[in-house]
Amino acid sequence: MRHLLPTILLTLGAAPAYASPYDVYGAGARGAAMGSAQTATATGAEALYFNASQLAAAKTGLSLGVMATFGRPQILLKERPDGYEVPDIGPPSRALGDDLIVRDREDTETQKPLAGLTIGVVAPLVFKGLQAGVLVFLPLPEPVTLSTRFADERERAFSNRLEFERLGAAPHRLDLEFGLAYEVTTWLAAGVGAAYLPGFAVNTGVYLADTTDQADADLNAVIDTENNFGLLAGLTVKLPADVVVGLSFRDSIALRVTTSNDLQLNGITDGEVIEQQANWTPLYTPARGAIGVAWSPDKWSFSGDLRYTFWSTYEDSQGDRPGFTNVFSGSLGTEYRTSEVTALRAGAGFEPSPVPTQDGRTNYVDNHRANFSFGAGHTLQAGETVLDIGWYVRIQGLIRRETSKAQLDNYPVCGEGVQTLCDEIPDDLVDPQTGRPFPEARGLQTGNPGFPGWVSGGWTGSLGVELRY
Amino acid sequence: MRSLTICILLCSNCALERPPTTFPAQQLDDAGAGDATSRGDASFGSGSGAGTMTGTWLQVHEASTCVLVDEQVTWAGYLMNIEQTDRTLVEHRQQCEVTLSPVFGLQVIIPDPVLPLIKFVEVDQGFVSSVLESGTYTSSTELSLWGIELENPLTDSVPTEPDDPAVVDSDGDGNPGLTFDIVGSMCKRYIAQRSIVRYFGRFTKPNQIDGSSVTVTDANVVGSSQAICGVDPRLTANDPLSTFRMVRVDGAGESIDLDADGDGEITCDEVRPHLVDIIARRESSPENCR
Repeated sequence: MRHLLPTILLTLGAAPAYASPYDVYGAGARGAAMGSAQTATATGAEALYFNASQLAAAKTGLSLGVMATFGRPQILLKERPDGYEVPDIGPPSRALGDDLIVRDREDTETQKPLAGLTIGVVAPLVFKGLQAGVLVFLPLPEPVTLSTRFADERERAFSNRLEFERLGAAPHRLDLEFGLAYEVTTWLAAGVGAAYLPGFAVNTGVYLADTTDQADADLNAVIDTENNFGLLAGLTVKLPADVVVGLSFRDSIALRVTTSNDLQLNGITDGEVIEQQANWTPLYTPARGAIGVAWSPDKWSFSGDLRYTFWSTYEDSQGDRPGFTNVFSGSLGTEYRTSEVTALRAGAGFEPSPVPTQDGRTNYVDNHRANFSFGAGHTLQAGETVLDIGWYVRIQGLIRRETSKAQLDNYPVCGEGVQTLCDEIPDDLVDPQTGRPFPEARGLQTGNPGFPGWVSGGWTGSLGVELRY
Repeated sequence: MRSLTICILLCSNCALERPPTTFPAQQLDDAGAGDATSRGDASFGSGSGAGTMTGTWLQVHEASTCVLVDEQVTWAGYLMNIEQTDRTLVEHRQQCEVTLSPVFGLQVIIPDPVLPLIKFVEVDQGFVSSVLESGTYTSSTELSLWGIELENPLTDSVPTEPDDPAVVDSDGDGNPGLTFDIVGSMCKRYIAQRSIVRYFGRFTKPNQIDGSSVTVTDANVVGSSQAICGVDPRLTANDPLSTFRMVRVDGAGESIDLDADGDGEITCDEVRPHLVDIIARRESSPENCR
């Protein structure tokens, strides 16, 4: 059973992700090369990601792309000062003693590389001006880590390290989007669509015949699935002087896993069951609105996007809302046609981090991001067959961010609702053997992997090639 | 491609350096644990003996019980006032501490305020053959009632239902019986229990008796705050592994004197820090119940 749930999720391509792969690495060869400034100028199936209404004018056909990531994002943990160790004082304490942890606290200096296949289709429908599209991102077969995490000291019992909240394994997941658009007039187009994610409800029945041998358990499971759709909508308005304005909205979408275990312990539960429950949100992409402007004089095309992302609704993988901040982000892109068959592209963008200062109990790691990109497109024609080839390179810098936990005069005992750095062993915890407080419980004892702080930064990048027929 | 190479080289030089922490090391003064002191230079059990058992003794009882296939060790400390007449003994007990080892990861803790509420019923008297080394000792019957009142304490059945009139809210917390805590949780278990113990030992030193015990415990869970705490597994005495030791602590017969404040009365607060010196606690082991 311990392998069942991960297997199911991997089969469906889901991963502990907090962002679409397109959010991090761009969508389509042209879009990625132009800094994702495409809300008013998308030309293919990637319009579903940038602005669904632009499907109406998108070139029909099939596109196939491959991409891969590289880079070195880093989280370096500060050295722990002496005197804050968590002692092993047995059952009176809920805290896991330092000598009992499974994994040592360590830095995060590797990123699981991502490779993927993008498939896009744009096709005309029955009415003139009406077109439909599908955009799929498939991670290529490779091991994918599925995990939820605690953002505080509880994570020490598991990975005992920090992870980037919006990177790492984040984009390693299936992305499926579809929609249609209609050219209402020569100057106005509208589009609507949906992004899709599955959801799961897993109930596991567990029977322990020998309660002292918990490795020997009889297990059954009931698994229900659900479908989740996030609205995509957009408008495109063509203005005089080759100016186009685009408006788009992407609603939030989440992959949630509800798990429950019903435990029966031979000789103990006596006809009843012990229930354990967890509500995970391994994937949450917040809602986003964007406005874009494109101007295409002669051989040039210039575009700019301004996006507003509703990070305040964000749920972490344990289903908690950490109170992130809504942020504006922006990007600029340009394209220059050097000939009838070749175009050069470049772009840049900046996205501030929505994660507030982590000087308290939680350890959400995130950085401001600056990206720049370049690429090109080439058109090949053989008879009546026209083939567009596009490629891009995109580099994203994670601007250095140092975090230090705040020092307090008194640290509250860790518990629900506590937001500051907290004490895992209450000072007044009494030793049942002596009737006196544990001397080693005085002061602050914390195994929080983010204590006393860290620095994060580095860079990540992607490159890809796309064929459009 | 050259541009890509330049980009990668530039970014490769962006590697972070670990900053130092500004969090100071934590240094704590000595807590002063164990500030209860005894008077005199004697150690437990030492001395020439007082020629009688009359006086104050400290007893630690380590009882083994099997809960299904796991062992539970009950470690209890008693303050005993004994009056010896000829060879018979009138014993008055006061429970100072009870600790139960975890079973299946759950550890029941008996809060200190509950201990004085455990009712000891005098049933008979103990006796001693001799107070010299190798003399034998048989205790009076230790009959204790936990959260119940029985008309015939020795023979009536222990109630199983919370609304049984024999179940009393001894600790006045609004719940039936006595309330025990489950360590590391907010869970509470409500207990109705009768324990009957007799101790058999011999003088190994003039002021020390070592021996074994026979225990019969009838314990029923009459409620709990959560279902997991209300499990009521079958208990089986494991007397071959149950031991006790009692030592004189009133200074008579050159024994140790635990009347730390010198007020002429020895209290649980004064003896509690010394209980582990009488019998060191041992870990429970499922092997003892297989």
